[in-house]
Amino acid sequence: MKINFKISRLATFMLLSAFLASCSKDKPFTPEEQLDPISGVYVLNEGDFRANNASLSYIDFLTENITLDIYGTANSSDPTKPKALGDLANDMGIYGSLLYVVVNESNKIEILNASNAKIVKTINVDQPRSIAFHSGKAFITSYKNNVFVLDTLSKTVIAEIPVGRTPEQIVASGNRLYVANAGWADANTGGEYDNTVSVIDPVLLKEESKITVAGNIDQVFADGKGKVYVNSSDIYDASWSTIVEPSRLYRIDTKTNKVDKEYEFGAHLMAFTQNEAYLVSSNYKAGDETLLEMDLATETLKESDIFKGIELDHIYGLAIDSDNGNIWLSDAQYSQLGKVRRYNKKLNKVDLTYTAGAFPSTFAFKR
Amino acid sequence: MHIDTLKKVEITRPAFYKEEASAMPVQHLSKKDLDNLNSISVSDAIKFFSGVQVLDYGGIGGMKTIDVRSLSSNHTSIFYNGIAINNAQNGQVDLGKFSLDNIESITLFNGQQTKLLIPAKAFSSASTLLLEAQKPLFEEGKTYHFKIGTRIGDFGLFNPSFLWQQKVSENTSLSFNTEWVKANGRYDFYYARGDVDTLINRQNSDVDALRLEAALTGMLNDSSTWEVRLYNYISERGLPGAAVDNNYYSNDRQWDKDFFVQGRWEKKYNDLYSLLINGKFDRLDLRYKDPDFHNTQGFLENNYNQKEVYLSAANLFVWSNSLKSSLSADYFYNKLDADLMGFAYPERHTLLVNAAIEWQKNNFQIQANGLTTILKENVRVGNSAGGKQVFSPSISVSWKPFLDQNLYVRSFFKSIFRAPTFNDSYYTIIGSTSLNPEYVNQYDLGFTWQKAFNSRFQQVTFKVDAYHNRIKDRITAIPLANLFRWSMVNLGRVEINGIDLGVSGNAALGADVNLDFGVNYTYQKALDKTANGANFNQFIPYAPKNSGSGFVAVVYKAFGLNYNTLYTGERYSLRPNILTNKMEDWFIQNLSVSYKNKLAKMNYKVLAEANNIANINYTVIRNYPMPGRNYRISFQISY
Repeated sequence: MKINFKISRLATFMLLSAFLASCSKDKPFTPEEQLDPISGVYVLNEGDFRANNASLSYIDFLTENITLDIYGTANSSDPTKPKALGDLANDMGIYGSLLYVVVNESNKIEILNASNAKIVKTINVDQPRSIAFHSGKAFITSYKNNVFVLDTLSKTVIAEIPVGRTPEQIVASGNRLYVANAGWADANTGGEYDNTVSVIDPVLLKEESKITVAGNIDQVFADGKGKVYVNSSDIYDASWSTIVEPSRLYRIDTKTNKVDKEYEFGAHLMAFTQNEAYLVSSNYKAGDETLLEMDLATETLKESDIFKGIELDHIYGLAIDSDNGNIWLSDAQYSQLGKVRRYNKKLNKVDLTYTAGAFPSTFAFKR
Repeated sequence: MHIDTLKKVEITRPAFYKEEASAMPVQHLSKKDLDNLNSISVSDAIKFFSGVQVLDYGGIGGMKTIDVRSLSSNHTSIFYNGIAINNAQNGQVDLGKFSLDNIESITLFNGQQTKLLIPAKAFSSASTLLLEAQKPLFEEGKTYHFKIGTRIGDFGLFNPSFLWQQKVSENTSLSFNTEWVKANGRYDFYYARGDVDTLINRQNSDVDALRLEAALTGMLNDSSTWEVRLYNYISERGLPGAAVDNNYYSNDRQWDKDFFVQGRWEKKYNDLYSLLINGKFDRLDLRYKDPDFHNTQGFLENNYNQKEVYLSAANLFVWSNSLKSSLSADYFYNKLDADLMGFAYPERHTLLVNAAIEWQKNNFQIQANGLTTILKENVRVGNSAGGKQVFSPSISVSWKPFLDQNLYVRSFFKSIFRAPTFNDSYYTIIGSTSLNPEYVNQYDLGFTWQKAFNSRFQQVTFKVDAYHNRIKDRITAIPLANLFRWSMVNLGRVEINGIDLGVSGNAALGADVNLDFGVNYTYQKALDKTANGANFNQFIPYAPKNSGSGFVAVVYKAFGLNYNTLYTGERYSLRPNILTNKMEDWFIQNLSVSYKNKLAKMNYKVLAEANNIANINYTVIRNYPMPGRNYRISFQISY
């Protein structure tokens, strides 16, 4: 009887690529000054709701092979009985030598060794959604209207920070963290959407302020240059037949923590290079998902044709390899396994295509 | 002994029941069969029919629906004493809620019943499941009959029941029946964590259900028969949901209040004309609560209320010994209220008109019918699905080719549809009012061969049916423009080819020893045939290639011993036929012993049951674990 709110939640954009692509003054914490080259990418497959079939895949850049269920096989001695990652894996990120996987319906964070995907520790967190890192801590949004703070050294929860209602994505930018407060749980039960972004101080471990933006903020992205982009999802009328407030993208200047720009369209996925942003919008053009390129300096916008000839109606994940500017895009098809594609910037074409798991959503580049 | 047994069977079978001569395949479980099958609810018993999958969400309170020949639950109509049990909201009737305590027989027709004096509704589904309540039965010279029973067992089950039948006058009797099912529902299961299986206790699967039923039946001076029946069912249960990693049950709750009153009156005016009137008022209340929902009030609660009004008139015309025809007209009014935001409050008027004709000569019978369905929907908010009119024909033949052989050949074709349910059309966000009906065409060819012997081995029956089903415009939810918003659409074709095989028989092994046995087996391929679809030629979910069941029942004097088994082969839980979606086959064995005797003037019976004796860890629906080995004991006195 419960409406399946979670089935079509978008996964977050991979934070680390934005971090690493940004200039050093925006980097609050760097594990190593001299970064090793990126050697592969983890792909998190969200899975179907209530099917317990979330999985983690890994693509090695040297062999260009995909290991479909690296979590399942790395954590079981019997390859015919792979360990199940759980139900609805919404987000992940690499911090230091560890890979943190957020599994929403399994109420847990899996901390894995980033080199081999073996379990280091499992932490119980109620209904976790999204993860970001700052100052040696992991910040995890939870539907309990909290951000859980996990100390990455002791690997224990050290604080819970109250934020807005039904928080979705979280991102680090400069010396702050930004949380999208959607509030759909109230809106779907007769109440109001939230309309704010929470700003968290990662040292004092508390909500510093709230920025009022728009109703139903779902996604937040950081460009690494002091701007945070937030996206509101569509809001329907009472009968759920007409969109009354269409999805919109807003830009926050982190110096003032004020909205300094509003776009005439929404973008539920964003990824950044030094000078450019790639965006996926569901309403830039009516009825189609569109991949857009934006020049960050001139703010000029154009439709991207780098994936031309490929059906883009179900883009579910987007990330950019900071070593070479290659663009990774995942495609979650209904009733079949998802596809992962790489646009090779040097060759100016899509050179790799993989079949991954169900609903591939998040990328994490491994060094 | 042999003759005795046969007579008994004949009496307990409904009048229409002539299994071997039926043009549409029919399977029947009598009271005696039901006693032999370790079953406490209708859903337990129907697992033994061939071609049937019971979609069982596990545990004593878990939802259990019937899927016949892989056409999905919405294509089977369920009738209680001749009148349909509907759920206009989602088309799913939970057969776990129907106790066998008051059930005299269960009959499944692929297609429809092959008698003519039935409501138009009885022609309107791909398959038909008939439940018959226990009829008043009085011993010579008695005007009353009592039965008191209690069942206890694992899952904290406590299940007392009481039946009182009273002759009010020569031709009128009253029945009163009540039953309470109380269970904590808890059981252990193994959750596979990679190479380690962890023992987990399934919780929040408790049930507390009370059923009250009263019926007045009688015959009037003009020889017409009538029945009025009141039914009231109140329950509260846990909904443990899917057992997923690190989250093995949820705390959702459900409360049901089902009430109906139904009546029938049947009169044979003369040799030419008979009339059958049916009527029903039905009210279903459902309350759902998720106490862990993360909104400000801290929970999610939804209330649904359905109402149904039903009227039917069926007319039978017997023109000659070989020619009969019937005309039936039914009207349904259905309404659904819910406290969901922006709810449409749909109501539906359904008019069904059916004409049927039967011709028989010597050993050949042919039947044909045409059903016209007219639907009209109104809503208070938003758009309505409007009106629809559909014509659905069927034809069936039965032939006994040899006079000296009990061989019956049958074949049928039936075209039918299911209308979109209220959920399909109006459910928040995903409902779509532009849906077309989902159509099913069924083709079947089969035979029954019976052989009686003048030996210890008394008789054997073979049944074989080959079938081909096509589903068109399947109603299914898919994401449209993007993955944020799913919607109901008509998409996809399915083709199902299968064979149902059945062998049954009985033997008298000694003066006091009787043996009954039966085996059913189904082989089928239910394939997705959606043109250009990603899953073309792959198996549809929950449609095993192989499935079967079997039982052996031995009676020695007052003792009874019964062994029965169920098998379901490998199948897939989701559409992509990949390894991670493959579900293991399972084979379950059950055993029971009974003893019945007389003490003074009272009959009593003691029954001990062991279910899943090999303690198999299995699931029917992925992530909904089924219980392992469990026991029940029951005791019954009748007077």
